[in-house]
Amino acid sequence: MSPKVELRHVTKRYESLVALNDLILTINDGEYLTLLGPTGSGKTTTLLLIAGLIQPDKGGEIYIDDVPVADISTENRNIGFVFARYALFPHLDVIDNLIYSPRVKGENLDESKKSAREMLELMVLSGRGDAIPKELSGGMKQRVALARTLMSGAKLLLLDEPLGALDARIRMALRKELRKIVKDLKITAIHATNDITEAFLISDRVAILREGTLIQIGTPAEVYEKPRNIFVANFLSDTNFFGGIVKSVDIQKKSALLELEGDLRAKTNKTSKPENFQIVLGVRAEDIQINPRISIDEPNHFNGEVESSKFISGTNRYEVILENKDLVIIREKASKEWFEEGDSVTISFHPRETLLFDYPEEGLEKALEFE
Amino acid sequence: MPEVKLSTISKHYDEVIAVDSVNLTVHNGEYVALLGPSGCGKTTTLRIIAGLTLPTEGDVFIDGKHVTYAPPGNRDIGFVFQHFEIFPFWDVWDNVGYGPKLRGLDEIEIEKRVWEALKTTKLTDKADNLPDELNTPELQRVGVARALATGARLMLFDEALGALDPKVKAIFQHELRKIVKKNKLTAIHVTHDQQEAMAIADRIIVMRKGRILQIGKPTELYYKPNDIFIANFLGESNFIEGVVSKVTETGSEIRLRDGSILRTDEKAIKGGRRVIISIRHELLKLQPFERFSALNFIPGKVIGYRFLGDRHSYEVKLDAGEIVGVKEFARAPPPFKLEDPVTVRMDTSLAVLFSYPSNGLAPHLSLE
Repeated sequence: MSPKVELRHVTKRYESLVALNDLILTINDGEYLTLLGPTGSGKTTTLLLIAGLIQPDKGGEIYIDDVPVADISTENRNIGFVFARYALFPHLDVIDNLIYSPRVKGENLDESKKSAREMLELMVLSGRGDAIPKELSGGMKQRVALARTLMSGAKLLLLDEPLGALDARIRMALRKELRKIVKDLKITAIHATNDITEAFLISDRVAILREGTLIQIGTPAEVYEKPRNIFVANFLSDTNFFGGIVKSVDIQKKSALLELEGDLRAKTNKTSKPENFQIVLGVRAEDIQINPRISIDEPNHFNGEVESSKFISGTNRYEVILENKDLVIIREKASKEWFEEGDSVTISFHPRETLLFDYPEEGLEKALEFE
Repeated sequence: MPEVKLSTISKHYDEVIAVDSVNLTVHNGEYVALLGPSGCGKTTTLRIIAGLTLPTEGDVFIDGKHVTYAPPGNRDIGFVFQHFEIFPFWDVWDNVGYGPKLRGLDEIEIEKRVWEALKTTKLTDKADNLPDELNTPELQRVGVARALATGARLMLFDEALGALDPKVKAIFQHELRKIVKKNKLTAIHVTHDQQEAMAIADRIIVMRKGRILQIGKPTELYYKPNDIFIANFLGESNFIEGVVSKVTETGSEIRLRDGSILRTDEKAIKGGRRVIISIRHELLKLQPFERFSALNFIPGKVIGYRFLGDRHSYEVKLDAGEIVGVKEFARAPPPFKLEDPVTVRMDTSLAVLFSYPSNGLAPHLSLE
């Protein structure tokens, strides 16, 4: 068994700033959960609260394995954590840092050293066992700190951007390893990150935070397929948004006609909003097809001109300026044919591959802001 | 208009060779990325171009002029760092105007330049703000605006987007490229992020251990890497071991360890040779297992799956022994479960053949 963690109505204010607002969240026994959100969304605050390094405002409670932990000190919560400032023992070499916990617990030294070496290999640090921390780069120190925490025997891990200081490519490689190790050791892990790919690759469930508020929680597929609002849709993938109104609804045919700003018409299979309702239509970059310009006056077909065309890791990314000056982002798997800047194109999307939202009261731009 | 040329540039620190005999020409109006892992020499190279570090050997030319020992101030360069050194008690306008003022321009010219730079970086409504009233992306824009306002035609970016959230970073990459292109600047951009390099650059210079490994357009490096390290460092590749069983007019056939055969269009490799086939995750497709043997249909078993939004990512253990990654762009729910036997269909038209390295595969797959 590894610990279950529960936050009940947890709020944390710093003077006028609400760092965390009435958070209700359960992390199950053995679950890998990521807290995903931009800078300042409350991820680190949540981890510090669970660790007991800061206390929630009055009224909020934190339980670990159904026990309220308000009166339990950090040391006695049996938590392993990796925060952005990695604290290694400066006078110990890497191996001795890793086996510190096993040694204190009186475990077999040879075996601990063996697993320490295996851990170093996974962390792309083979051959660095004899180095002392000051001989290592920031990224290496972060990996040693992570390895040490994984070897500490703690059954609850709190990871605050544990891969943040690493080279992009090493970060990619370590994500997969980290999940495997955590799952093998049957640890409950809570991992804060601002990187969507990382969250999707590594976790069972994703909790999306914004400005101290939990917006949505679910498996990667759940939050991706059914984003609660336009912020989530945009945060999780490049999504194009069009403001407009519902023109007509045919519930039987599962089809609604939308009139969008800038003289565009669209069809969607989402029929939950009534006629004349103000909406935002979202279409993800990968759900839009791009073709040479054709003469067609149909919903979901817009004419435009390619403003930029870029190959990125096996995909083509286009920016297309529509006739009404709207900018649309399109991403498709790279093929032998592609479009160049200046090409006249028609873009289109299937009524099924659409997202429909209420028009946000605060306006589109404000609703999409990251920070 | 600036063209930058490095001729056999080396930089030694005691025993360490940070940059090892680098030759490089960056053309006028070109946006290039210096890409490589930490410690590969990319930042040292940039600093040598800027004049912030003197090379141990070799020459630097900007616009045909020999500037190897010229001070940074005489090189007409705009420099943007990750840790933007912005004057905290000056508002955005004064920060951006600092460069032009230093160059002794008159008030009207300064005002014109600052206004242009703020417009380009979408900061006009922040002109009167102090730095501590701005968020990180806005501060980064101030850094870029400041470099633009100097009027320099050569921009050097040193991990300039490193401090940004990934989502904001992705947007800014495309904006930065547009700014450079629209203003017809020459830009050299240091990054360890292959995705960023492809998003911003016309050409990428891949460095490792002080040396240049390959220079090319993103598609060239991605589909025609000249080194296993590059195939592994850019994007996601599978490396499958085999032996050349047949060489024909149009290509070659490779026998994998389980006896199945991969056919590629690449030839000129002698029969009997041990080789590594490098093939991108997205060039593999899964289909239900079928007990027949055909070229490029390789049997295996699903051992891992992750949903990645716009794509499914599988891990498949081939009967041949390797674990391969398969990336399928698709909206439908994943058709395969863990433990499912599958046949992996490999599109080898863009696969690359390497001779099996004499020192083994590991040093080439190291990420350092």
